[in-house]
Amino acid sequence: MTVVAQGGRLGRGAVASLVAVALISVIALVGMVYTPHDPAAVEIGKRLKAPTAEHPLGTDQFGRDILSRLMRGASIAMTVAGLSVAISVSVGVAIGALAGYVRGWLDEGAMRAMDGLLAFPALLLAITVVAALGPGHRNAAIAIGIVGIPVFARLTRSVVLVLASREFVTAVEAQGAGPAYVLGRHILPNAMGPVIVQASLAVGRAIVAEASLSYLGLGTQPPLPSWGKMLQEAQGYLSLAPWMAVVPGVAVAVTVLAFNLLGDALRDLLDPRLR
Amino acid sequence: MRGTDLLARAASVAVTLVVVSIFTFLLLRVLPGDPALLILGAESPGDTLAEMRRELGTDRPLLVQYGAWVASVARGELGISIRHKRPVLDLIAERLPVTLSLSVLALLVALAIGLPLGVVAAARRGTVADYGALVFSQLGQAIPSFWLGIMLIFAFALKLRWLPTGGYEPWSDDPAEALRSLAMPSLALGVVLAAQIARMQRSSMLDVMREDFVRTARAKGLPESRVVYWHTLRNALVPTVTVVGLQVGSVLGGAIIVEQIFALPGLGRLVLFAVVNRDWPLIQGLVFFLAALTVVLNLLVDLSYAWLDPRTRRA
Repeated sequence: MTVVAQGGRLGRGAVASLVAVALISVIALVGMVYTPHDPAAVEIGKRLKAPTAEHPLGTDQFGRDILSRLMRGASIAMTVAGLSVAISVSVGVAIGALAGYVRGWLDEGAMRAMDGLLAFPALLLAITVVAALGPGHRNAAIAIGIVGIPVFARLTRSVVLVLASREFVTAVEAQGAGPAYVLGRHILPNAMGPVIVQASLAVGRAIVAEASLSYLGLGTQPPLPSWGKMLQEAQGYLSLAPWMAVVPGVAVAVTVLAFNLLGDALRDLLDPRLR
Repeated sequence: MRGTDLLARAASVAVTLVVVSIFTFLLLRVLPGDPALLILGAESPGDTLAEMRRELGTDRPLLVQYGAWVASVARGELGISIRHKRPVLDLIAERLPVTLSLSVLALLVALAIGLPLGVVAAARRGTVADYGALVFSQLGQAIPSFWLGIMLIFAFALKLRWLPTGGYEPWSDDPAEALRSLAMPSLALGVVLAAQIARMQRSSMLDVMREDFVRTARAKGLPESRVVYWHTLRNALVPTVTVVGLQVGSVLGGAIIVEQIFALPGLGRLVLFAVVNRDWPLIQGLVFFLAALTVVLNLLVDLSYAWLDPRTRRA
């Protein structure tokens, strides 16, 4: 991609994506402790009001302040995304590293299991896990995290396979270093570049997945606001209050775009396979 | 693809299907929660619960349950839905045409938008057209299908009143109405894939353009359009087909949510019905069916490489 200039200096696209990600993170952090109004406060007299000075993004069908719901929704979306990517990365990297370094039946078994997980349409697998665990944003995070495991397992395995045959690894092994030391100290740190790139893209996917589950009523549960639930509610008032559907949709799209562009920029910077 | 390769590929598909069946089975049993309790509620008397467990078969050892389920799948049965009181396979058969129509139309939309964009972007690299294609592919991958769907309803159903807000008309009743009812859903579902296709087609066109046979074609004095559309396009299709193949699952998964937005009576709505009503046999049958369908469609995509690129026939 063309987002990064030559020579390691960040291009305009990369800087823009970094600024956007930072801004969204700040909004999410602020949303945890402060919102202009109570995001759950119902005020029927003010329902479906177009944007005003008091409610810059308008109000919804219960007279709740959309800006406040958007901010608290950002906190929840980012928490779920962060938690789910942490699950995908930690479990996926562990499986991939062991499979790629130990090889043999462990590799064979782990990769067949990952193929099996990848065979499920992602959203279907997430829905099924939520069905078994029960709805809610924590269980949604676990479900989205499980869906992402095979991506990181396969990626880590492929990088570890290449690194394990390199001379510096053979040299450490010849000195008598144990497998845990070789893997943890010499192989994994060198494999982190592609994992970080993939993690950034995974945050974008997790944001969409959380919104999808919440739209379907299986993710974040009321009274907690969620971008997906806001869109689902907005659909019923499209002709009366179209801003209700625009605001959370833009929020999802901008957040995903920011993390995708950041992932592209990081790829140019960190992925040795592209050098 | 030679016979032995085909056999090896079929064997790996069979292994994946076994793994899928184990996951489907375990997912709903290892995770906490007693299906009988979830179906009947906590207040129900003990003997009713025991009867439900017997009906579901959850009172037997896990291995026996799995064996019985695999045996029934092998016979071509996927169990009986608790809420519908009908075979799961019949329910799937009724709704499959909706989901397949939606998915195929979405794929056509994706190819119709994505391929030309990718080709033009590569042929006119660095121009406004290229930049436009880049913006489209970034936005297309960031905008969630359900938001796009809602915005399409707002524009084409509520404001312009050209299309229905939702619902489905079977092809056999009125093909024109069927197409009208699927127009917005397939666009909402297809745009993400179109964005990925455009991006992949552009970069693989650029790769192919650096190859010797393209230089030879140019050196022979062939017109540029023939070089681009005849020599480069077909050879650059293989990576794009791979992308399409990898996205089969996400199209089927995306159909779940798009069917919900547009009230289409397909498999996605059935999945949600099953989950909301805790219809365990229906969830299990549907999940296995959709995963198996994804695996088989991926196999078909793999087989199509041989047709597109003769070099892979001996790979």
